[in-house]
Amino acid sequence: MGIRDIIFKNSLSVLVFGEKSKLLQKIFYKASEFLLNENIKFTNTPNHADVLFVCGPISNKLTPYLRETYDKMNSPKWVIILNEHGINNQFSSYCVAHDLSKIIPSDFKINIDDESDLKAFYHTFIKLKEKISQ
Amino acid sequence: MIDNELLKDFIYSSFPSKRFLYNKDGFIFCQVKTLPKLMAFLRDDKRLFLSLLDIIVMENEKNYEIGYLLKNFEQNNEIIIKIEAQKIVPSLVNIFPNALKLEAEVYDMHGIIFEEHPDLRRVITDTRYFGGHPLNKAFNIKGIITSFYNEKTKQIDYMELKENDN
Repeated sequence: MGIRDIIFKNSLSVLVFGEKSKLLQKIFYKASEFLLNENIKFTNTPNHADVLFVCGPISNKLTPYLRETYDKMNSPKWVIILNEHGINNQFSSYCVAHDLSKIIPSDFKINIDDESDLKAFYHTFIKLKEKISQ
Repeated sequence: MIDNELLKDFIYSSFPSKRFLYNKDGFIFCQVKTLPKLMAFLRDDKRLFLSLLDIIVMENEKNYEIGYLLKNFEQNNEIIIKIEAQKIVPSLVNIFPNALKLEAEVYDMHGIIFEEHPDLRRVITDTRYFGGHPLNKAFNIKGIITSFYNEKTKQIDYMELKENDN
């Protein structure tokens, strides 16, 4: 593990891409202590970001811009996809991209139905740090 | 709503040879050919001064029912004028300029074509490739296609879904 990996492991900057802001706001409000302890910060530019946090469902019209933001990020970069098919995996429609891993290479896919249960959210960030340190 | 009796007098006095239908809900049924003339009259008459707010579409078995919601902002009155038509309808862009986007949205959702519309293209759905019009009754809601990234051309392309994907 080089010094670059230690820097990446100990401080991540996250770029959020998606439409479902209401659930996100609740999640980040609940998980604020965890994010402070783990040194996870948020940016608004893809240039400064290490992790792309995609909040689904993403419509077909939006997929070129998702790919564009991914291409503008500096490597190494990681991707987490949240609620790809909506809450409870039930949302599939004529305008929604059915498999986001065909558009950008994704590391983790998680589903969070409610802000009261955030185990999956904590677990993915810890798993991601393990993946960086390997 | 504007008093129907009053409006009936207005319309009969200006279009003596035409026939209009009234029902108790306040809708006025008009023929497709006389629609632009009637709209121009309703806009210009000093007692009415109506402006276009919205276009409403209902799909029947044989035809479409299209309603034009008009409003007088001074008196706070509303009125709906309806036509029954097939897929081709005259455009009202020359009379009401805001019909430019309203009619484009109706075309996007229902597939109704407005004659002599200067810029008739999709507004809400995907502009690159999209099959059909979502609010039609024959439309498949589950979807047939999805997007993916093509490594060779480095662009987003479309592919057909399998049956199990839904």
